[in-house]
Amino acid sequence: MRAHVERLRAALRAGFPFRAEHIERATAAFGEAWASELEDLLARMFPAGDGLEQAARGYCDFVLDGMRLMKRFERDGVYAAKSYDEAAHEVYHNRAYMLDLYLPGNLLSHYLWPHHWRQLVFFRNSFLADLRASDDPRFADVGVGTGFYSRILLDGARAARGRGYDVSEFSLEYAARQAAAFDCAERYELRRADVIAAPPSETVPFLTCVEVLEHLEDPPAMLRALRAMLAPGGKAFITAALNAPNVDHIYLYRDVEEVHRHVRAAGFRLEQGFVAAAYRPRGDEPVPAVAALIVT
Amino acid sequence: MQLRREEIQQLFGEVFEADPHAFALATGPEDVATWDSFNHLNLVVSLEERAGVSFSTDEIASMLSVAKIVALLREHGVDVDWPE
Repeated sequence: MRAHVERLRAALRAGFPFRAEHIERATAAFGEAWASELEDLLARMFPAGDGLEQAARGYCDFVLDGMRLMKRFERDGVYAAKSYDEAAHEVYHNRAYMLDLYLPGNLLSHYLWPHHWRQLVFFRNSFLADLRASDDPRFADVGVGTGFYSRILLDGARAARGRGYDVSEFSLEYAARQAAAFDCAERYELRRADVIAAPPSETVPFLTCVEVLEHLEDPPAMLRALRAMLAPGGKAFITAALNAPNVDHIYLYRDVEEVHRHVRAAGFRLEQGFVAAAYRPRGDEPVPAVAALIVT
Repeated sequence: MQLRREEIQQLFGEVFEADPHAFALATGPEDVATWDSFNHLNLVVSLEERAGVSFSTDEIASMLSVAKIVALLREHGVDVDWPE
């Protein structure tokens, strides 16, 4: 029995009727490997179950906030106006919000939201595989969030070494915790930095930037900074949220074509792409989606 | 803010893509095939928008019948015209 998954199921059921059904659905859709991986994550991040119920509540609140904003987005057609500084104050530098709601919610979404899981599968098959095969498996992760994608690289390629950047001290704290939980900390360095304002001097052969562009007033500026961080012949994994309002989403990408234009304008060449919607539309309303690109 | 029975039933019907008249006070998830987690959250945010209220996580967890939802709306100061 997967004790931690069962505990998560109970916590979700307590906080949200029917939310627990997502575990059954995901297991049916993605198989035992999904369930085993979720069990491993929960066991490492919440040993003895400590904090798991809190994380489940955080996830439930994270989802509810998103749905409230989605309702308004369907009506208004635009994200609620917010500057980067406002989002940073409200979210990234808000300890309680980040550690109790935002980061746990984001972490669990990688497994409980099918489109996020599918993006992860694409990442493993098309990016991690190349890093693992490389004779120079160094990477930089810009906007580490929970540290999830850094950890997937470090855990999936034992020779990998990485550096993670984020502007939030709480993201760095959470990412360090996740790396330590997966015994990857000695190969991972974290820096609190804005890579646009303070470009790193070192280039790397592999670069990730996941769930960042939509948080910015000027995504092209970030893409140019990422281009400068990528070593010649290197490869980057960059994602963008489409039609996905959130408390800190500023730039509205309506379609993947706009992401492509921004990426190309920064000097990248598209190698592979992946798009997945969060759910089936019932009418003409926009549906949140993820767009993931592998670029060189 | 006042909401009549017919308005609430209409909202339920839209969210669950069902006949609005099928929603009585005793109706719960077990009676509606489309009452799943996604539509439950859709119901919550639709009610919040319509009634101008904000439900807590605990309240959302307790919304397991139309009667309970009507009671919560009244607790939030909404004048619900739905006879027992």
